Amino acid sequence: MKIKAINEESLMLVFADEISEDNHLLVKAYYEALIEKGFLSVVPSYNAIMITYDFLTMNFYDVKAMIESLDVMIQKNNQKRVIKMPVCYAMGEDLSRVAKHTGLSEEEVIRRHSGRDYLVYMIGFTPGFPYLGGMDPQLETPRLEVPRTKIPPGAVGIGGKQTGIYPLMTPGGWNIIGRTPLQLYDAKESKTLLTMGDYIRFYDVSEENYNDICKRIEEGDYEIEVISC
Amino acid sequence: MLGFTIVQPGLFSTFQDEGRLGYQNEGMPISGAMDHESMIIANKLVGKEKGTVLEMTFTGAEIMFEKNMSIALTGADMQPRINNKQVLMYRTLKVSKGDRLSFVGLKSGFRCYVAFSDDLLLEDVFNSQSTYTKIQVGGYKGRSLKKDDAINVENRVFHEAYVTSKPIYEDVIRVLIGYESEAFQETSSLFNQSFVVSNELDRMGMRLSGESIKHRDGADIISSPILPGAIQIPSSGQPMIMLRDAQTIGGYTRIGSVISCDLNKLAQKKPGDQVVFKEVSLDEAIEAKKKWLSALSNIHLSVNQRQYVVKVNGQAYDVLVEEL
Repeated sequence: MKIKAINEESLMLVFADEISEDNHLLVKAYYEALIEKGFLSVVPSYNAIMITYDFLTMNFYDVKAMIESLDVMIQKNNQKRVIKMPVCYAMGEDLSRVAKHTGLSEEEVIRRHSGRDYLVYMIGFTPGFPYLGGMDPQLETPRLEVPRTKIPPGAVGIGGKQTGIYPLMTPGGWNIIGRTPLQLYDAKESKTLLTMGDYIRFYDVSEENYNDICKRIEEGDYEIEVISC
Repeated sequence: MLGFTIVQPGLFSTFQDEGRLGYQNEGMPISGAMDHESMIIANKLVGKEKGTVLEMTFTGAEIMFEKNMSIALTGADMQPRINNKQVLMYRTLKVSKGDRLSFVGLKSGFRCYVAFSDDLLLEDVFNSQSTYTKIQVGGYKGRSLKKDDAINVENRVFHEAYVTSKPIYEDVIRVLIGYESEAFQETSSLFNQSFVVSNELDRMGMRLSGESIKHRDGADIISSPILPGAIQIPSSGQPMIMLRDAQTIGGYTRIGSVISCDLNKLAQKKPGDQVVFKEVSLDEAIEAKKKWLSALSNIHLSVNQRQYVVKVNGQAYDVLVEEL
């Protein structure tokens, strides 16, 4: 691990130059230790953590020394927080494109996409957007040649080797294979759903079910299913 | 109650405050006034430690006041007028219901700020009223102002009238080398030339043009956290400085960071302006910020002064008269 001064009030911890679950666990262990320390901001990524501190009460050398003395334990067999995420795959306008490209049936695309847990490596790009790892390599499909100008919130997409969920109405070039009623970003309540280190498990729901969940979320009558395993 | 309405919005006018630091782990950019210094001084002139200000870019808005209040103008000189009469910046101005604030045109700088003695009733998201237009949050409906927008305020009594002056700094942007500086053949190429601000300039970033800065192996990194001030160098070798609306994660190599008090100076640069960088050490950067903060907290606000504009041979001069 290297610690670099970034500006008068920020420093960055940089770990090994790779995207891997081991590296992620190390970042997560440090992240969880660091968010307890009263910094102004702590931002984790695949292999780095940015910290902003109050430069009038803390300085780079003290913060660096404190971090170096942290006794951080990597907990490999820790409990996983798995968020069960309903997805209406029938609402995925590019599902047939993905099926055609991969040579799989639409049912098989859904089966493979929903049949596993995805690790949230970090949140970024837009508020609440999870960078996910763990997609079946068979599902790899190139991005659309012409990105769409508007993708609805909750759209679940595949772009190249990656899969993800659009939290907000934004432009985007991924193949939309379904839509979740869950709100990954809620401006009214000023909150986001996911945190780095979470896992997501997609499951298929009908359009009727999708609409019902939307309604229940609006009425404050829906509880997101979270399992620890 | 209704505070003011927008007669003409100007090119890009948004409400901004100190921003929303502390939510980048959720993907939320910091945002906030591009020029914090101008915001802080404008707020002081209307008796506020903190407050949301109107940030106008390149061209000014035309505003019709619907009630009496005090305002102050700082930052870029856009030649302000109230009811078509020239008014001065960096002082408290009293406005009455029916008064119109307008601007003739940009004379210097790039972004002008208006602070209001009344409190603005705007959208508060993640602890800030700052507008972040990319995802339509904060400020007034999450967007830049349009004609006929009506801003509600909460009355705040403020009777003082203050005068101050615009701080003057050396026109050099100080940089702390860092981030992935080892990815470059030499960092000196950032400092031994002057750059020009290109047309690609918004609240998120500023692209510069100059002699390209050469990488050792390539311009891509594993995406990692980035802060306003970061100097990104993509494969073109042309620097891109990240500004207040910077996304939270970036994928290009970064050579270092502009120190935070000099981000305010950058906010007043417009396309075609020159940018000269100077390398500083971490200790020098901290010293600079402390100096800047203490200068701001000691800023001299005079009361009971009158300011006049005297025209001599067609040239306008500001004259300050203090009662003794």
